[in-house]
Amino acid sequence: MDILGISAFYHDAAAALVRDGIPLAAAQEERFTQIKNDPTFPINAINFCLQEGSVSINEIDWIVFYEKPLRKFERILVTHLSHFPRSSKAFSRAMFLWLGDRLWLKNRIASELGVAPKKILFTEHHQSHAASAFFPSPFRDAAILTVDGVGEWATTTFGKGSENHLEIISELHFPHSLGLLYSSITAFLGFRVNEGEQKVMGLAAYGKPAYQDQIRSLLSFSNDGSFELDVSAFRYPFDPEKSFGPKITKLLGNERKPDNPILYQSGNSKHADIAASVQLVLEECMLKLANQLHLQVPSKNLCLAGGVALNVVVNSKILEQSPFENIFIQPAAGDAGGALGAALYIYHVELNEKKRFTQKHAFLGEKAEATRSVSTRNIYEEISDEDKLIENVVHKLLNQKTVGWVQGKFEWGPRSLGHRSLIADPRNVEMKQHINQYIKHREMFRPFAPAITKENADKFFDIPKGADSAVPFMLLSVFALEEKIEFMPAALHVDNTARVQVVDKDSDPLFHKLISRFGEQTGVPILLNTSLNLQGQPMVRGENQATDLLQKSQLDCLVVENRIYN
Amino acid sequence: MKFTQSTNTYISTFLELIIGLHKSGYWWLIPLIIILLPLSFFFILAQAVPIVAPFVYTLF
Repeated sequence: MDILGISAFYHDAAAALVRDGIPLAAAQEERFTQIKNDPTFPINAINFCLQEGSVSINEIDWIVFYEKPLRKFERILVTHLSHFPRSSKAFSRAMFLWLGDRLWLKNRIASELGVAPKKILFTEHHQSHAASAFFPSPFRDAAILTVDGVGEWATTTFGKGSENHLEIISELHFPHSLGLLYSSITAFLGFRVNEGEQKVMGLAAYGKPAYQDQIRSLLSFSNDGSFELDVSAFRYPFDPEKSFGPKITKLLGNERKPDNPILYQSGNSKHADIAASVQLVLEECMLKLANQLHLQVPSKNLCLAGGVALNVVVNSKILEQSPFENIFIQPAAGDAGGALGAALYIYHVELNEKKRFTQKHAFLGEKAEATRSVSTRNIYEEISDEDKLIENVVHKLLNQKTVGWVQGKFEWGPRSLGHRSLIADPRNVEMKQHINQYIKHREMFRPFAPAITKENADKFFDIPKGADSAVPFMLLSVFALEEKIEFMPAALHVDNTARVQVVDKDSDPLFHKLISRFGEQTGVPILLNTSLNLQGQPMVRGENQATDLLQKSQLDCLVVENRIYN
Repeated sequence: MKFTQSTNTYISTFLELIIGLHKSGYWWLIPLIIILLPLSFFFILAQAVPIVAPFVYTLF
């Protein structure tokens, strides 16, 4: 049975093809269009999935959209009316969008894909998130926590999963949203919503939570785990351009304009302090939610999804301090993952199919050579012997070269996990500045991740128990062991934490071999790993995009499959 | 998609919306929907609907 999941129209449009309960292909539209967070109908991603599954659209059994547009329209109408006349500016625009398009999504999908409307199904936004976290997890039973900006009405849900069953047991509704609180502060700090949240998390490590009381005052928690935001401080329920109001400015001072400098270094670290404060409050809230969830679903296992689950520091705090012993987080925890979750939800819950799978890697995208041109502009050296290729790359890394490493299928989710990566020697502290400033052209406070072989992970990092299912996907923040800090300064954040990627030989033998060989030469079986893209662009799709990047940037060399471009 | 199939889908979506609003207690939105609905035809015919959400997406 083939089920095609689709997410689209807000951010991170994506498609996923699930055959008999197993994902065959999954990709975000942004990889094909090379537009960051592309929200448009993911026709390219859908075509890729169909091609990968060697199936035509008419042979697909069910097509599932990841949220219910009618419920969402209900929320949007209620929100506009309850904030009238302040919402009047956005009302006509919203109605134009909804009455002309979104409301009739079934027609739109049927028409775009040329399929019968009866084949098209809808799941709830947070059901999709929950399914994307539970069904690919290694757990037979688990508590499920989903937290994001907003879906239809829900912003936070508690759920429980068992075998092929999944149930949302309680939910919190818009406008009370931890995701939107964090996004509002992201906007206050001058970063783009839906993209800048990761920057805020990175910036937080440079600051002290000097504004924690002010931010905490925007929230009130009840004993049952529910919370309410002080809605008077926010404008997102009625203003499409600005998400925070004068109350936030009164509490935190003037907002940062995007062109203004980011204050994060000693002397004046105001922006980092605000980031640290909202990060701390988010951690406290998420821990309270996890504790409350455990009271309602006393499982050892926790599954997380929703955009907030991409906050690796929060994830680590939950694993360390909540009663849950094991954790799994969907690698595409944001809305893109909803495409996979929607398909899995229909397969398991609606169709009552029991066959489960465990997601051990995220390589569900298109192969690197799919975009290989017949006449490439670059000159390359082809090395067919794998060991020689590895030796050659290690030699370059030892000579302090930055290497674009493009292998196999691209990753599902926002992290580069060794298939569309920029890799470098983590021992060289200057590498951090070099890559941020000259290759990626991004803020200097942005950290990189270390990729380490599974056998050596515990020798370099303090990896908590129960993290086995999360660390392959760079979804936890862990401390480097004190005596090992000096060996990987470029791959550590300012507080000596790292969003570590533990590489398993079975899941990615080539990348494992590369790190191992580098370790044999240096005693440090770690590579600095960051996404292969330029600022404001998505990760490269395949060979053509990677060679373009090589020409446009100061990247030293590029390895695509067995081709080395200099 | 054939015209009749497409029209049937529009109608069933509309009915589903009305039933959903009634079930969820927002029945009082139904008159507003009925007033707004004719606009849909113009908007659909206009074929110029922006499909990308703006900066703050919660209102769209």
